[in-house]
Amino acid sequence: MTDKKDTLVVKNLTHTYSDGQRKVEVLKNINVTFEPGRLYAIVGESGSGKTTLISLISALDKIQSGEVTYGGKDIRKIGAQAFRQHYVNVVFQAFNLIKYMTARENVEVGLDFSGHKGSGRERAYELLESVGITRDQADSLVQKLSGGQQQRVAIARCLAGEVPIIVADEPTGNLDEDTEGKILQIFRQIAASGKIVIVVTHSQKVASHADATVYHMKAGALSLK
Amino acid sequence: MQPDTDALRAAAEKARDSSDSDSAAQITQPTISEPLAKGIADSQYIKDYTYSVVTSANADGYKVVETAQNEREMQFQSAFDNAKNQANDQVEQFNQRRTEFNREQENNSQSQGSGQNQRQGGSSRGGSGDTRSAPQFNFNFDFNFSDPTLSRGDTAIQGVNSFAFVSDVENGSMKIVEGQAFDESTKDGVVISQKLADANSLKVGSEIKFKTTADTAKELTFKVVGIYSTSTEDFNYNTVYTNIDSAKSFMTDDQLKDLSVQDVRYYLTSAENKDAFLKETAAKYPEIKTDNLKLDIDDSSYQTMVGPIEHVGSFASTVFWIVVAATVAIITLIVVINVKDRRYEMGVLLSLGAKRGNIIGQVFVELIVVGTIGFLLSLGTSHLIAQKMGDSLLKQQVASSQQATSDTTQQRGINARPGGFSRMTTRQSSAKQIDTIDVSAGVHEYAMLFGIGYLILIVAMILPSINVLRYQPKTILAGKE
Repeated sequence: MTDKKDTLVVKNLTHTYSDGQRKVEVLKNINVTFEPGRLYAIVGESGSGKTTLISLISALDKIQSGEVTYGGKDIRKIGAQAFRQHYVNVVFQAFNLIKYMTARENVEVGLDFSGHKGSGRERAYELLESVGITRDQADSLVQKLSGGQQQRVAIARCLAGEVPIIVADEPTGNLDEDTEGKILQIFRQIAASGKIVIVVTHSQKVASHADATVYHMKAGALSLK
Repeated sequence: MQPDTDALRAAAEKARDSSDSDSAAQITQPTISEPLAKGIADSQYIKDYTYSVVTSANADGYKVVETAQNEREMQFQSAFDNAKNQANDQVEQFNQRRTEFNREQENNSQSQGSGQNQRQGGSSRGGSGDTRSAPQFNFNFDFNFSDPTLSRGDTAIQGVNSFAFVSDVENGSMKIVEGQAFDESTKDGVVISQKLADANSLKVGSEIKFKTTADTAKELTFKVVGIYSTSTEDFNYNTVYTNIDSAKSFMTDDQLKDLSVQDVRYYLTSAENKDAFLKETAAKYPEIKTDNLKLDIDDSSYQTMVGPIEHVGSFASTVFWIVVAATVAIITLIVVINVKDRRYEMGVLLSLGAKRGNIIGQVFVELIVVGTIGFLLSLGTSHLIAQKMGDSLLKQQVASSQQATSDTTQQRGINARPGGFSRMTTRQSSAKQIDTIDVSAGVHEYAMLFGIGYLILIVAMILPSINVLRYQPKTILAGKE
């Protein structure tokens, strides 16, 4: 397996956690490469290790064994905080928006960390509009928005970071089918813009998406479907 | 500075206990020389000083006031003179009876042993000679009960470098009622009692003449610059106050040569310097100890004045530290709760790439902003609260202090009765307690307030910061934190 520029490579990734008296191997020697401009879907049952895998990929958790590289650089050497700030953003199932802020303000937080120059407000509106949030909605508290709208805001915030990797953990888990389709469409557009988009889901709709490269996670092992 | 009564008492006891009369120590009242008094005053710890010289003069063209003191002294003198005359009479009677007894004895021995006398031949002359030379008892003792300052003149002259330093003026029992006081620069000016002035129709500006008590008396003319009144009972109203130089003009060269000063008092630059002053003086003037003198620190006035303030200060200091500790605890608790409530937000920020230091900084900046608003609001309210609290606390302290003083005074009244030496060492403090407090704060105080406030906020941030450092975005966002 050869590292390419702007390619995210997972090598021999193994992860365990202690469950009381015994150790549980959550990930078993995972090897996978994610290339820019593509949408990846990782499907599997609950507890199969999907969330653990993307936590390690997005530097939200510490790698125990194996390595994750981006552009040939070990992300541990880049540093977890720096990697999160400059390389990867995560969309969570629960949206994880700051509730006392408006949609626009949430996006501006993402812009702050990206080192965006110029008017954050206008850029936030642009990003929100790009995911289907109007200006009126953008100025509303996120609590007042629907689940689908909140997820769009979360995606816009990820985009604000202008990072090359977008990781989504069950982004449509709380959404109805119609909204799910629209969200997937957004991810497809993001991938088309040249970013690596990794979507963890148990949704067959995502898995059956023609453009997505689908991996199946089972009992800590990853295989191409 | 005054005689060291303890040292004198010890010396007296040593002399009394000495079995060898030749080696018995002679105890004399120590005196304070003017150069010593002035030398001590050169200390860096001395702000001001005073001493007095006491002499006397005779009235020249005015009549002295008959005072209760004069009357009492005369009564004592009269009683003593009577006792002395009676004793002399008794001694004279005793001597007469002894002479008669000796004579009778001689006559009896002559009549009973004339033969024997003849045998002895001429020895009767010798017997007669023994009778003539029988010891006669004499009583020749005199004593003057009057005030030493009046031992020679009828007017007491007290020289002091400033009238304000006269003990009675300091304790408030004496005050100028007309004219003005004198100081070192006043030339030939005296302050006389109102009674003396009234008795002689003297006014401020009048001339008053004295005759010195020297064998060759000289006339001295002074100008009355002030008239005083006193509330002291049995006061000698013939006491005239003037400055040191003027008082010295009443003295002879011999008196000036052996001049001793009295009522030597030094005023320290700060009560805190008392130990340093005593140490420095003891090292520089060892004769103070060897001459049985003693420097007593009398900070009773200071303590009386500032006692309640110091108690309030001490209480305020205690309250301050309690408030600081409580504030740190409360703010720490508030910030910990705040950080815990916002841990989800912090998890989000961490997932977006925020540095933990930035998150701690954000919380701290928020705290500083809120704190600064609070401090600014306190600028107006703290003054009012502090003034009210200060007044209330001081009122309590003054009341408490006055009660304690009253109890002590009653106790002292009982203890002082038999004391002879206590009169030399006890000074009644006339200082008024500070019973009002003016709370004011300047730039320095407010800078301190802000500084301490910010310090409290920094300390209060320690525990919440540790919590933030422990946060893992994954566990927060997974809801496991």
